[in-house]
Amino acid sequence: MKYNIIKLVILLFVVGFSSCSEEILEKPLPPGKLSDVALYSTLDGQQHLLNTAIMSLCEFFDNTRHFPEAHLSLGSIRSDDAWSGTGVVDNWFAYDVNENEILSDNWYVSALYRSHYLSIRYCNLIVNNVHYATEANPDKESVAKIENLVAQAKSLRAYNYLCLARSFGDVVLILEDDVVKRPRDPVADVYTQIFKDLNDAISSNSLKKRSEQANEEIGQITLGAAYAFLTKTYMEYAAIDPGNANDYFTEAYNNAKALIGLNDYNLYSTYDQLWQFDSQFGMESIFEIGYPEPGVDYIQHHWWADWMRPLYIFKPGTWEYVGTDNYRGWGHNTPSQDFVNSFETGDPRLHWSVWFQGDSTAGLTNGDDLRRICFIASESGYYFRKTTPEKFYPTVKSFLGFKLVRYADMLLLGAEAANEIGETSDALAWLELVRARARNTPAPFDHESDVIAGMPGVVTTTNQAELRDIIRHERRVELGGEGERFYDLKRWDGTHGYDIRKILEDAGKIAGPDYENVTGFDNSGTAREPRTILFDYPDDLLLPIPQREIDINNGVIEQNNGF
Amino acid sequence: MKSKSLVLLTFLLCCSISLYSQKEGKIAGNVVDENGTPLIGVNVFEKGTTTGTVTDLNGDFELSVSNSEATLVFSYIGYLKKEIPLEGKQNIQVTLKQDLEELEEVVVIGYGTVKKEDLTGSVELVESDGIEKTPSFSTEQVLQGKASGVFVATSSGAPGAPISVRIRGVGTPNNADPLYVVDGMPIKDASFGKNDNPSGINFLNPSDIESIQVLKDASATAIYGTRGANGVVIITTKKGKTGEPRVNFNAYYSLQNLPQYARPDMLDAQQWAVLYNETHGETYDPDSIPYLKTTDWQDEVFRTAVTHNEQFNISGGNDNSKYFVSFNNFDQEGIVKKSSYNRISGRINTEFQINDWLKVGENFSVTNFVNRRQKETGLNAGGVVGSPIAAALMADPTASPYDEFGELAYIGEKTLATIANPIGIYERHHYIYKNNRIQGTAYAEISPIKNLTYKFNLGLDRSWGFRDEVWPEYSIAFDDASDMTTLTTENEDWYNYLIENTLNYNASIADKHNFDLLLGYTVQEETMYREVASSFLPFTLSNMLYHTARASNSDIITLAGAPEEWAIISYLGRLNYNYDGKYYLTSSIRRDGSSRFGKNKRWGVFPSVALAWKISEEPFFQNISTVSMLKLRGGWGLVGNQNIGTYRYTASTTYKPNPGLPGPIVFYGIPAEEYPAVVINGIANPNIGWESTETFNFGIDLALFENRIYSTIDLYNKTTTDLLLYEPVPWWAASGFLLEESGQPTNAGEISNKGIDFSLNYKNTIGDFSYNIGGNISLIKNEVIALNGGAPLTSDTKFPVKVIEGEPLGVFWGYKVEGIFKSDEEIEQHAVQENRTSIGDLKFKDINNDGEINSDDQTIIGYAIPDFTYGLNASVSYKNLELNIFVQGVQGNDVANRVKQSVLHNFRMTTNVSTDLLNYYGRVLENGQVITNTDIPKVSFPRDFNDNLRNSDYFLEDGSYLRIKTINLAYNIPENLYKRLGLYSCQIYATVENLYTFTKYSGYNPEIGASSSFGANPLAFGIDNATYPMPRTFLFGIKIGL
Repeated sequence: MKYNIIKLVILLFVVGFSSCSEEILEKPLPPGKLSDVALYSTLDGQQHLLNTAIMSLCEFFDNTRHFPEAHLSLGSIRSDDAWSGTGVVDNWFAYDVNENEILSDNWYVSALYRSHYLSIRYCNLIVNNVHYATEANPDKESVAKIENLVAQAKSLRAYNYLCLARSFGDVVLILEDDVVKRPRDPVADVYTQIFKDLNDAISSNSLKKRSEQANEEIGQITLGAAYAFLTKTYMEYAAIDPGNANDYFTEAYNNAKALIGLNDYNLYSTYDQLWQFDSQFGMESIFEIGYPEPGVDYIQHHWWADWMRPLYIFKPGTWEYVGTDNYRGWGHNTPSQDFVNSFETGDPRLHWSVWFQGDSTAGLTNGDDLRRICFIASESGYYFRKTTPEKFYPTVKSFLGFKLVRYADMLLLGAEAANEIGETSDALAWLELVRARARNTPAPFDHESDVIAGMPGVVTTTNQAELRDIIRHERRVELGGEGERFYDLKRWDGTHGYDIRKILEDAGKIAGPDYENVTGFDNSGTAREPRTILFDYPDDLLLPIPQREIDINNGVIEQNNGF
Repeated sequence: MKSKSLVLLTFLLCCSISLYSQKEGKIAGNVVDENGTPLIGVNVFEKGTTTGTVTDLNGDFELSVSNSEATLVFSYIGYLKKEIPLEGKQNIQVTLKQDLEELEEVVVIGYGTVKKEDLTGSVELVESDGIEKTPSFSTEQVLQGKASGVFVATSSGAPGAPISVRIRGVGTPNNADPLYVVDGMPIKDASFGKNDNPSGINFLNPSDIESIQVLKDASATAIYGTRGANGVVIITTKKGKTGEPRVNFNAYYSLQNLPQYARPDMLDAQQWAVLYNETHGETYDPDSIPYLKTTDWQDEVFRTAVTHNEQFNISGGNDNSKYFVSFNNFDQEGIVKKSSYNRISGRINTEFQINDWLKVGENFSVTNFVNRRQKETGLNAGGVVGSPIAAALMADPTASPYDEFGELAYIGEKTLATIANPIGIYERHHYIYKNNRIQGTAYAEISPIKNLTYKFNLGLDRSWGFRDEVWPEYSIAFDDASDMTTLTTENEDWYNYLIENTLNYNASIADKHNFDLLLGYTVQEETMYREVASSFLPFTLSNMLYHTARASNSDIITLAGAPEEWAIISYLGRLNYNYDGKYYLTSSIRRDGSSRFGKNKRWGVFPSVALAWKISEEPFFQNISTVSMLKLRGGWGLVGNQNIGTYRYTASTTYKPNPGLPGPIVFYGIPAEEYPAVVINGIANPNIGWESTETFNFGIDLALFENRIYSTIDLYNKTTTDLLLYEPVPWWAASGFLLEESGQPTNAGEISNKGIDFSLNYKNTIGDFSYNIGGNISLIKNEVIALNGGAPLTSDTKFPVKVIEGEPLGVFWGYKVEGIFKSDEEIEQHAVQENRTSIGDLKFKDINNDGEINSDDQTIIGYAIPDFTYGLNASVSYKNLELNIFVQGVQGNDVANRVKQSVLHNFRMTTNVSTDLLNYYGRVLENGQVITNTDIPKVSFPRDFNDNLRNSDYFLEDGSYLRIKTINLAYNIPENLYKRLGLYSCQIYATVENLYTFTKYSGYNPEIGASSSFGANPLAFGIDNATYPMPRTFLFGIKIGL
C-alpha cells in the first residue's frame, strides 16, 4: 500500500513536471495587432503606411497634435495677416504666437515639428522596407503599385522636410527608423535631400497624374503635387542662396510650368466655391488632407475648421447666441485690420475671406434660418470666413478638407518665378487666371454693394519691379489666413526693399525699432492698453526647437539662437 | 502515539538519572504551569555546565549541582524559559509561563511555513486579531503603519479607490506594486490590461483574513523569482478550527464627513466680488456686494456619508474536517455625492483529512462589487473641469446653482475657466464599475511516508469587470456643453489559473540537524479580453433610460477590444537547515520563464541564501537573564520584476482591417470615404529582459524581559539594475498615436534603495490591566545610480517629475522662487524674466547665471520620497474595556500642490481662489493701505505675463504629516449578561478614523500616493491633482459570538 502511494506521488510529480510545456510562453500577438514585418510584406500594408503618413498631418486619433492649427498659427498669426483671436485665457500658445513670444514649449511649435516628423517616419518605413513587399509580390502590377507608393513616400517626405526647414532652419535629417540621438544637419544638406527625393520621385515615372487616379486614390500624392513641392522648394531655396537665386527661379518656373502643363488642375470659376464642403479634393486641390463628408456621424478630433470659425454666432434677429450647438467655433486666427485694408476696393474676395460684424450666413441645408455672426472675442473685429461654409449642417460638426497646397498658390508662385527671370508673359497670364476668377466671383448676399464690377482689374504692366509687387500683393489677398504669409514674408525679406520688420510694424503687429508701442484690442473690441510686441531679428524668423526634443536627446540637439 | 513514547522515554531517563545521581548538592523540585498542572519533560540544567535532567510524570525532578549557589535553567517548548538561583535552597517549586508571544508564531513564507523564531529573512507579520481590532474598509489599509518598511498611501478617499503599497522604497520606474499571494495563489497584477479596479486585493473581505505576511528582503522573496522585486504580500484566509460550530456576527455603522478644518478656505461672495472688481474691472455693483449670497460649493458637493457593514461567519470542525464559511455585505457612500462602493462577498474554506496519507481542501471566495465613481482629476483651469471636487473649489461663489426655473444654472460667466456646475457634474455624469470575481485554490496533499508531502495546488482567479458610463446631453458649462449623449460600456474578462506541484521533505538527524527541503514547479497563465463600445446619441436622454436606448441603438461609434495574455513557468527549490536551533541556513533558487520577454531573455534564475545565528541559544548566553532571544540574520538574494506589460519585445501594429472595426483611418476620394491606416507601436527590442534586484539584508531580532519587549531591526541595501525604461524616443521614431509617449523599452539603469526598518514593541500585564505599546519607523535613502546614457526621464504629468542620475527617484523640476519684485530697480537688477515683468511678480532664481530666466533655469526643487515613515500603536485593556490608538505619519517629503497652482493661488483669478489671495501684493485696501508685506504675488488678469503660475517651488509644500489614524474603544459585555442571552461572546465598539492630521499642507490631504489616474507610475508620486479628500469617520459596531 505505502509503496503504491509513493509510486503515485512520483508519478504525479513527474507527469506534472513534463507537462510544463514551454509552448505556452509563445504568446502570439493578439488579433488586430500585426507584426511590423508582416505589415511591410503586403501591398495593403504599404498602402496603410502611406495613409498614416498623410493622416499624420491631421488630428485624427491624437488630440494633442493639432497640425492644421499649428500650421495656420505659425504661418498666419505670426504674419501681418492675423491676430490670435480669443485665447488670452484658454489658448496661451496662440496668444504667445500673437505676442511673438514663442517659447520652446509652445504647443503649436511642438505640434508642427512632431506631425512632420511622424509623417516622415512612416515615409521612411515605406522607403526602407519596400523590399519585403517586392519579394512577396514580384508580379509586375504589384511592383508598379509599390514603386508608386515609394515615389509618393519620397515626395511627401520632401514636403515634410521643406516645412521643417523653412520653420526651424537646420533640422535632424533622419531617413531610417532609428532612435539614435543625432544632432541637427545643416539646412543645405536637408535641401539636398529634398531635391533628391522629389527628383527621384518624378523621374521614377511612377507617380500618377490626378486625372489617372482612381477615386480611392484621390488625396494621395500626385505627379502634380511633386512638381508643386519642387517649385515651392526652389522658391524657398532662392532665399537661402540668393547669389544663385536666378538659377532656382528658373527651376521653379520650369516645375510650375510642368505642373500647369499637366492640365490636371484648374481654378473654380468663383472664389467662394473653394470654401464649401464639396470642394474637398476638388480641381483646385494639389495636396489636401481629407476630412469626413458632412453628414457622416464621425466622432473624432477634426476641429481645425471650428478652431478658426467665429466664437459667437447668434440666432436670426436676436442676440441669443447658439453657443451650445455646433455652429460655434473657437475664433482663432482672426484677420488684422491691415489685411482687410490690403484688398483692392471692390475685390469680391474680401467678403468671402473675412466676416464683418453683423454679417449673416446665407442659409442652411434645412433652410430654416440665417445665422448672424457677432463679435465679442475677436481682437480686430473680424473673423476669417474661409472655414465657415455657407451651408451649415445642424447636427454635425462641420468638416472641411485642409488644403495645404492649392492651384492658385502654385500659379502665383509660378508667376513670381517667371517674373524674376523675365518670362513676363507667363507671369501675367498666370496672374490673370487668379485675378479673373476673383473678378467673376459674386459678392455674398449682404455685401453686393461692396463689389465693383471689373475688380480686381487686369494687370498689364511689364515692369519687373511693379509686377513683383503686384504678384506679392496678390499672394496675400488670394491666400489670406491660409498659413503661407509668414513664410512669404520671410522669403522676401531683404529682397527688393522688403523688410519683414517694417511690414509687421506697419501692420501694427510689432513695435518699431524705437520700441514705439503698438495698440491691440481686448476681448470687448475696445482698445487695449498700449503694449510692446517685439521682433528679435533675425532670430524670430525661425522657431525654437521643441524643448522635449532637446531634453530627450540629451543636449545633442542645439537650440536656435535667441530661444 | 509519538507523545506517549516520548513520555515513556523521559520517564525511563528520569529513573536512570535518579538511580545514578545520588550525590552531594542534590536538588529536588517540581515544575507546573500557570494552572498548577505538572509539566512533564521540562529540561532542567545547571547554568554554565552540561549537567541536566528532565521532569517526570508528576513534574518532579532531582538534579545534582556543583554548588548550592548555582542557577538552574528551566526550558520547555511552548513556555518561557526561566532561570532560578538556588541561593542555598534544596527544594524549589517552579511555575513556567506559557509563551503566547510572537516567537512561536508560524509564518507563511511561500510554498511553506516556518516558525517565526526560525526566520532567516525579513518578514513582517500582521495577524487577524490585529486586523479585527479596528475595522478596516480595505485590506491594504490594514497594513498602513503596522509594518516597518511597508509604505501604504491612500491618496484618494473615494470609496473603492486604489491604495498604493510600496515595500522598501521604489526600485523601479515601472509598476512597483508588490506581488499579492492569496492562499498560495499569486493573483493577477493590477497592470495587466486596462483596469478599473487597480487595487490588487480589495476584493477580499478584511474580516476573512487570518494573517498577512510581508516578505521584504530578497532572501525571502527570491522564491517568487521574477515577481519578487517589489516585495511579496502573502495573505492567508481563515480556516476552521477543531471544535463546536461557532457563529460570529459583526456589524458596524459609520458616518463619514470632510471636517471643516480640512477644507481650503475659499473666497466667499463678498470677498470674491471685491477682489474681482479690483482685478477684472468693475463688474459687481459695489452697493450690491454686501447683499450677495455665497454658494459654498464644497457644501454642495460633499455630504455626510453612511457606511454600514454586516458580516457573519460560521466555523468549526473535527479532526477530519474543518470549515469556515463567511458572508459579508459592505456598503459605503462616498463623501462626494453620488459616489459609493458596495461589496458583497462570500467565502467557503474547507479541509478534509481523508485518511492518514491524503488531505484535500479548498479556499474559495466570490465577490461582487459595484463602484459608483466621480471623476477625480480634471484639475485644468484652461480646459474643461470634469471633476466635481476640482469644480467645487473653482466655481464662482456668487453664482447660484439653480436658475429661476429650478434648472441647473450655467455658472461660468465670471470664472472664464470652463467650469461646469459642480452639481451638474455629479448629477449628470453616471459612472459605474461592477466587478464579479471568483478567486481561490483547491489542493490535495499526499504524504506517502513520514515527513514527505506532495502537494498539488490548483488556483483560479476569474473576474468580469463592467463599466458603464454616460455623459448625458446638457449645457451646464459654456465649453462643456454637449447636445449628444455619450454612452460607453466596457467589458473586461480575466481568466487566471495556476497549477502548482510541490514536494516537501523534512527530516531531523540526531535531533540536531534539521532539514526542510522543497522542490516544485508551477505554471500560471492569464488571459484578458476587453471590449469597449461607445456611442453618441444626438438627442437628449431623460434620466437613466439610456439602457433602453443602448439596446435599440445600432449606431456604435467606436468599438475597441484588446485581448492580452501572458504565461509564466517556474521551477523552484528551497532548503531550510538548522543546527540545533542555533545556526540557520536558508537557500532558495527559482528559474522563471515568462512570455512577457523576447526569446533571447525569456528565462531567468533567481538564487538566494540567508544565514541566521540564534545567539541566545548558546551556552555562554544563558547567563544573561534579561535577554529572552537574540538572533542575528544576514541574507542575500536576487529577484526580478516582469511588470512591463505584454508584447513589449516586439513592435506591434494597430491596424484597421476592415470597416466597422476600430483603428486609424484616413479619408480619400469624392465623396470622401475612410480607408485604413496603421500605427506601428514603437521600435522592436527583442532583447528586453528582467529588471533584477539584488538585496543584502542584515537583521537583529531581540526579545527582552520574557518577551515583554520585542524588537527587530533590519538594514538593507537593495540595488535594482537593468531597469525597464521606456526611453522617450525622438518624434521621428515615435509611433505617433496613443502609445507614442511610452517610448522604446530598454534595459538600462540602476536604482539603489538603502534603508533601516525598525520596530519595537512592549507589552505588559499588571493584574487586570494590560497594555501594549508598539512603533515602527522606516528610513529609506533612494538614489538613481545610472540611467541609460545619463539622460533624465521626465514624467508626462502636469507638474514634471524627473528621474535624474545621482538623485532620488521622483524629483520635482521647476523654477526656484526668490521672492517678489518690490521695485523697478529690483527688476532692473535681476536677470531678465519677461519683458513685461512688473512689480508684484515672482522673482525666479537665475540658476545658470546667464542674466536671463528661461527654461535652462529649471532645477530640482523638491523630493517626493519621504525621509522616513512611521507608525505608533498603543492598546490598553482593563477588565472588559479595550482602547486602541494608532498614529501614523511621514516626514520630509514634498508634495506638488497642483490644487494651489490651479485654484487656490490662481494668480490669474480665472477661478475662485483661496482667501490667501486677499493678501496679494500691491492690493490697495479700503483704508488706502497697500499690501507689500506678503509672499503672494499680484493678481494678473487676464494674462500672467511673468508666468507666476509656472512650475516652481512656490507650489511645492512640505508633505509631512502626523495623523491620528484610529482611536478604537471596545467594551466586552460581561459574561453573565450575554450568557443569559445564550451568546458565546459579545462586544460593542466605537472607532474614530482620521480624527486629526497635523500638517502644514494646504490642500485636502497630504497623503498623496501614486495617483490613480496615472496608473501605478511611481514617477507621478506626490502630485496633488485634487484627489478625493480623506474623510473623517465615526463608527459604531457590535460583535456577537454564538
